[in-house]
Amino acid sequence: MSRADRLLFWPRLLFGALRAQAAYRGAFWLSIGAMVLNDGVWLVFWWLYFSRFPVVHGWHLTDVAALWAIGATAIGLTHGLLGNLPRLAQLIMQGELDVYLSLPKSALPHLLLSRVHVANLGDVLFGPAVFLLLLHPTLVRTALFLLAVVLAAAIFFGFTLVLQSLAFFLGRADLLAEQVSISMITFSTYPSPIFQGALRLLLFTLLPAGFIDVMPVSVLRAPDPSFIAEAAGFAVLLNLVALFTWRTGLRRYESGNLFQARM
Amino acid sequence: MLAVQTERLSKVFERREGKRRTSHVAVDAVDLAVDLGEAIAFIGPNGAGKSTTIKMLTGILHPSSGEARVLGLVPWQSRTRLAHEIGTVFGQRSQLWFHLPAGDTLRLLGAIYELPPALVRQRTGELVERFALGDLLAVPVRKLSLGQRMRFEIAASLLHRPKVLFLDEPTVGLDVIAKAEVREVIREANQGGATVFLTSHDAGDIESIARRAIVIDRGRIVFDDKVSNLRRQWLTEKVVELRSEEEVEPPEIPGVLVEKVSRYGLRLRFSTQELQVRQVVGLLLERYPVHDITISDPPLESVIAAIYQGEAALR
Repeated sequence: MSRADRLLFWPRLLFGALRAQAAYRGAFWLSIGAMVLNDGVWLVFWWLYFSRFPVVHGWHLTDVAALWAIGATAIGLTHGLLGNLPRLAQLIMQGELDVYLSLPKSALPHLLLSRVHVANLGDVLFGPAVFLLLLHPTLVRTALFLLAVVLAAAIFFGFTLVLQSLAFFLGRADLLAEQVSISMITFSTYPSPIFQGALRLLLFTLLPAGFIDVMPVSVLRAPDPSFIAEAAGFAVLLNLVALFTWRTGLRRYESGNLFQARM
Repeated sequence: MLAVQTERLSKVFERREGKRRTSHVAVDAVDLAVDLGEAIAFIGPNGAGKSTTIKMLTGILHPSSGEARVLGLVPWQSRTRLAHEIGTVFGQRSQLWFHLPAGDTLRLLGAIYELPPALVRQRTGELVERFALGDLLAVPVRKLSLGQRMRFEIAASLLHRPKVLFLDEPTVGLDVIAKAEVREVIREANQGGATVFLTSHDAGDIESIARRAIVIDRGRIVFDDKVSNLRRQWLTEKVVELRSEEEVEPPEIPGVLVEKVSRYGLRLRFSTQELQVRQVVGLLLERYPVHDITISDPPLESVIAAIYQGEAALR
């Protein structure tokens, strides 16, 4: 089997995961539609807000729309297409890594691409749609949007992987991971200038939503090379820590004996 | 080269009970040597360490200490390389996609094992024919019966012609017919050269598939010999079934347990450590006009039950 064939396996696996979730077509599209609607309602809320207060700490409605476009796309990619990422702690706790560890593929990409989380696929549609419809895409702005999405997705991915891999060390880490993930997502949907002091420090370290909050301004509106470099460096470091945590944790994996099916 | 070899393989799980940390030794210095082509039954009660051992041998778990080689490879160091050479079936875990037809999973597994598509088609055709699953290839797994699903699970594990098959409870939950089919296919794989490493609580699986039995209890190997010797060595009991020409009253012989009484029949059990066979048979022949008499070892099922309950005296 050629190298190209080996690489093609991964999109093929993702396609299989999509087909598995689309088996119930009605529920599939309804879940996606509900997420698009949910995201849309938030944008309408911000539109109502900015119609009364047109500028908040230098931010306009288009900046918040860009934040939602970037954030939703990044969340959709990491939590939707890699549907097992946000439930990794649960998989570890219930010993569900066995199937992936007994097959001749790298376990992490194999398990991440084996399931899509349908609701978050709505985010993958919503984010680019907002960018295309509301944010005046040009070639340069599209490239900058894609850069922002890649950086945000890398930060979401690394952060979630570290958090979920704690299950190897703590045993029951699913509730903690869920709560902290919700905080991360929530904080990444508000304009960055409203966070100051210790909270701002927290948002650029332990709960790195701050990097995402800054992207509409520092990547899309007025690209700042030093911020882009910092965000990229942080994303690389975070992912190295995440892979180290995953690999170290895998040595402590305890498996389990629950009856399981591959959904 | 041995198919499976371990030296003092151990696994200790750390547990937290309140604020206290405790250690649970799941596998305790296990030494194993399984030749290529052998079919062994690895048996023991729940929690004895069977699945943990298999999971270390397949690279899923890292051991706490000790060494292991499967086909010459250290499982937890060469996991993906080894996975090309072995097949696994975990009765409680499915590798089939629940919402997709089993045929799709077989194709995907073909890609996972990096088999050429033509070979995947050929092997799928062979296995589907062997398991009589042709009509079900396009049916979503969620619509299959447990027996049909298990047959697909085993077919999936054989797709790449593994050299060693690790089967953890492959017939759990199956009906008699499905069990017989699964056993036959495993036997065929073994006759074709595959080493079979089987764990099962089902005596039928053990007797029909394995020639050698290894019993593990509380993480330690307590028996390693032929399956036929398992029954003889583990339980020192005999079962006598008697059919009389006249109506029978149950006998009162010290050391003989009356298991069943019918109008013309008796089933008795006694220990050969307390009584000799000829003594018991002599007494029975004196007392009853015997039409027929059978002396047998207890069924393997009883042996295993006794082992699990800790009733059998270890030799």
